[in-house]
Amino acid sequence: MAAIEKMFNPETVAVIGATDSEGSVGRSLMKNLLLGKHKRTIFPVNPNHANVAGLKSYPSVSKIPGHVDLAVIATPAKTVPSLVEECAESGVEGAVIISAGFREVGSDGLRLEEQIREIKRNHDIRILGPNCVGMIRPHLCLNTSFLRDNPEPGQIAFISQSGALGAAILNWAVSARIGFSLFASLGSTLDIDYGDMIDYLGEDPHTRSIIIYMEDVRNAKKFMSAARGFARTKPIIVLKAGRNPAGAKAASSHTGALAGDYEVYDAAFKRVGVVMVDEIGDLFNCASVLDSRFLPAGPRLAIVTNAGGPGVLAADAIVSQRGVLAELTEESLRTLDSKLPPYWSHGNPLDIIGDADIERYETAVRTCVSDPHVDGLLVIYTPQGTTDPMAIAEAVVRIAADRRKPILTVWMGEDSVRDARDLFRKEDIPTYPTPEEAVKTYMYMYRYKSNLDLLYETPEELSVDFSPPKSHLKVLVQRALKEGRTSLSPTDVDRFLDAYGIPRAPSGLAKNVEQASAVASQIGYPVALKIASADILHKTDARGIELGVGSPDQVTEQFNSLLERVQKLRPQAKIDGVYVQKMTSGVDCELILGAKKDPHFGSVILFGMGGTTVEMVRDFSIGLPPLNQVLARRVMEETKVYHALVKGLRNRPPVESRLLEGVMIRFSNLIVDFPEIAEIDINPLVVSNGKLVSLDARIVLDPNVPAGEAHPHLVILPYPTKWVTPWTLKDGTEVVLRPIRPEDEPIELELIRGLSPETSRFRFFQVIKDLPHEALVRFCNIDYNREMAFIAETREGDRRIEIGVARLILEPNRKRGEFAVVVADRHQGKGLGTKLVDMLIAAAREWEVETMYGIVMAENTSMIRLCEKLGFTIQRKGENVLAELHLK
Amino acid sequence: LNNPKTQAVLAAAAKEKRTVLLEPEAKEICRIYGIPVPDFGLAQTSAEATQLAEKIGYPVVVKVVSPDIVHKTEAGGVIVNLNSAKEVQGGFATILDNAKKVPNAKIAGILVQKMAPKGVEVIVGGLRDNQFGPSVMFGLGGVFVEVLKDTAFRVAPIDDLDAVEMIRDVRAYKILKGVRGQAPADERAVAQLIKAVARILLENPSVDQIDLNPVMVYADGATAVDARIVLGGK
Repeated sequence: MAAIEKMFNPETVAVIGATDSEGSVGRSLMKNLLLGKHKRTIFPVNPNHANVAGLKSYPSVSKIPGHVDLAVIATPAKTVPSLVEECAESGVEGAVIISAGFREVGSDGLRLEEQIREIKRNHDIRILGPNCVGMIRPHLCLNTSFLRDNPEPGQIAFISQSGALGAAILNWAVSARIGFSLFASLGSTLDIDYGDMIDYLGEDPHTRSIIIYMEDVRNAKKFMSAARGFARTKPIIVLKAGRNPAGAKAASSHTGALAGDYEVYDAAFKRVGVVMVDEIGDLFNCASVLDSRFLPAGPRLAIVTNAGGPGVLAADAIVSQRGVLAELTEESLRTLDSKLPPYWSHGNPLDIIGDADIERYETAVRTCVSDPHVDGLLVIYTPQGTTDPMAIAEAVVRIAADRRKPILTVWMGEDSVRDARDLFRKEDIPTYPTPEEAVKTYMYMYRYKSNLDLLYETPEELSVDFSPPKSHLKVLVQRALKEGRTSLSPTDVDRFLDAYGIPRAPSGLAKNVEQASAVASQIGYPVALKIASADILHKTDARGIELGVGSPDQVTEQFNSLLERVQKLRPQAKIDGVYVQKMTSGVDCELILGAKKDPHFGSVILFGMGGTTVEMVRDFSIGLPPLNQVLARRVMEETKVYHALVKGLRNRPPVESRLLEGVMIRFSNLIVDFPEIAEIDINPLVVSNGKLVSLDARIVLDPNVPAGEAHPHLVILPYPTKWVTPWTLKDGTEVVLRPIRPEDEPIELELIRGLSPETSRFRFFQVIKDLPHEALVRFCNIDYNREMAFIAETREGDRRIEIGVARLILEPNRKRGEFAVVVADRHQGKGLGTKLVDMLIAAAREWEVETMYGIVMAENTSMIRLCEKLGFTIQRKGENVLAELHLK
Repeated sequence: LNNPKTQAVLAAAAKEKRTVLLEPEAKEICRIYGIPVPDFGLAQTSAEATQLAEKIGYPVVVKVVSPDIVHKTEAGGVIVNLNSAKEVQGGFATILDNAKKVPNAKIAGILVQKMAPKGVEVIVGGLRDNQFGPSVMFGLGGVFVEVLKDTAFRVAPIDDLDAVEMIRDVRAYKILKGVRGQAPADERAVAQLIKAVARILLENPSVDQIDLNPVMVYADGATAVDARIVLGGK
């Protein structure tokens, strides 16, 4: 696929459908494009006119002399496919299709889109739209829209799925004097989507934050990968339409019924550091504060106010938004007591009373900034008596200049505080008309920061990180699907739980009374009898459960009556027998652990309060596999039941967090390993005396899993185990070659620190002795979908040592990838570098990369020799050489 | 203002400067206000306990009654599901032993109470709010109140409509209506209980808090299995 850089910064633009007719789209387009005529050449294309807007008009794109970077098409839908084809054949880089009349009008429109897609298959042309309002790039004086608004240059990029809503928001933003680095509406998203835009804007120097109005994510894998790549450097803020499902969907599992569209988006966005907001206004509030380098380190907010009321409102807002009202240190309180009048509030909110002057504000604000128990500050001013709003604002600006902690301001009122608010805006200090809005924004800042921390997190290694034997389970699945079944029998489900170490109550399947008694006496009384039938999903509804069966006599009695009544209620059901399960005593709490496939984001995992009332209780949260320990805990922490359990329910022992995390991780491994699982519910997973036990589990299979791809059901790829290779160096040293993982941060740092100055310079073009945590995270926590790093690991006693690493980073267009390699000094010359680069070539081939290249210092002769040996072409470029390998 | 029937009970506690009523006292007040409680009696000796159990009918629960033991379960002061005279005697002895481990605890006796069958567990409470005065609370038992804080509050007095509204306000209401083929629980009986709690607060200014937890609700009727009343109002 071609890059979009050129079409987003074109030197030549053709306007197909340009006209002079009053009130037409073609005229508005010309008018807007001509605003940039000093920067680029505009070619009107219209066979019916000799001139448009005073310029020579061309009968078709192919008649335009020279190369055209961008074509803007605004002709009736039915003419568009042939026009796109003509553009593609004339070498036009990209087209913005303004025309409507595609998928939104039904099957005829879809056919037209299919024709365009067909053209794209044979050509490199990129397409924005159709049915979009175009794009605007104020810094470049480029406006390919027909909108009346022409925003000022700014640092916010705004992408809207809906053109009309986007235009309305833009209009509002323009009058609020908000500037933009880009505005684009994606329309039908035939080609260019959110992922492309984020990749592009991630590298755009004018853009500091990206705001998105989204109806649906379209290509979720691409979006997630792009967002993960750039969320750290440029905040991505999304307003997602469609919070409430139109109607309850029929779902066969609890997980299916609970995990709605919005909940899944929320979980997915959190995972990649994207902020989801509630309102249009929040988009801009966040855009202006989240790119700040001074994000709150925690949720503890201090409030300084000259009136009690707004302080209390702010405190209420903090609590209801799950923030924390900071508790000042004793030292701060002493300082304040000594400097403030005796009638100040002696706590947070710091009410410094209506007559507070500059000095009092300064004292309060400075004390809070230095207090280690305070993460951020909200300064409130209400117009009272003789106090001067401007002078106090100036004082706050002075204190805020050192930017040690985020300071948000609320100057209440209107006329009398306007100048002060302008000052704050000018000084880049967030200011809001009400305390509630300020608190809301603070919490967005905090949540963004803590989700970013999640991306940086270095998870501990857990002993549960194992690969269970799973081939026998694959056979079970295959057999079921071949027999046309989409559900598994309880005993088969038990095999899954056992393989992945998810504890369950002892049990067995009985075909007759004798077997039932035998199973019961083996596992011990009392037992539960449960109907075993793949055709009965909800056993209680079919009256297929008998609890507390305490003796062989009772087993005999209940076994038959259970079968009889189920057969009467469900005569069609094929019954496998009766499942005899040991009763678990002392159940403290019921949980649910489940997974389902979301149409956009693939398999998602659900954890929450379980039992038969899950849908009513709705205390759950969602995570995307793969999960590690930290991510698993984060998912659980969003539920109330988790906090209650680790604290201990009333009169009950607490549950160890580790235990829950372990089960979550193993469950996640199960989901990662089995794309064939459409839905799984472990419900209830009961808590009994601090232990977890599954009492009931169901698995529904997906008969339509695409073959060939290892993880078609995941939008975040798990650790690629298949690349783990044992290998031997020329001197006999045993090593393991494997993809890097977040846990490798310490050994990666050790390798870099241990390099000789020359080796370090050859790899980094300067001598590097130390790297900050954030940089190391970028090295170790990679998106295996667009980057690969193989490390060589040996052991010296118990110690793991990294002796080499090779890395390949794909460019966003995925055609080219840059590689680099380094081997520890004492292991150079043993064939390791060659082996690692050879593995990168294998990875590049799998990604269907066209060209792999590396920049090598000219003095690094051994590296140059290595490249030559592997078939790279070598070209001198100044002090360096470019080593290139064409893979196609 | 004091309800004359409750005066004696409250006066006895006040005289002994107790702020928490003993369980039989709290249950007596419940009875006065028409709140159904399981049959019970107070025994001083093992023999009395057995007699009571025979009269009430098995199974029974035995509980320690002491102004000095607030958390009965933690102190080993509750034994449930006793099915014979022998079991009652054993239970009586165990509870006395456990109670003796609490230093200086005065023992008023051992409560013998009919074991209530399992129903839908709910909680009804009452308190005296600083601003709004007597108020009542309703919620479903167990995790619903403890973990989810799924409760409804109203300011007394409470009429039928208020009480029904409160019941339907909580998210877990569907459980009362009956899930998975269970018969619906007796909402009207719960409503009567809520109203009675409001009246106790309104008519007895010295009562500060009431806690009926759990209340078992059945297809027909409801029973307050445990009751706690704290004094301190005016």
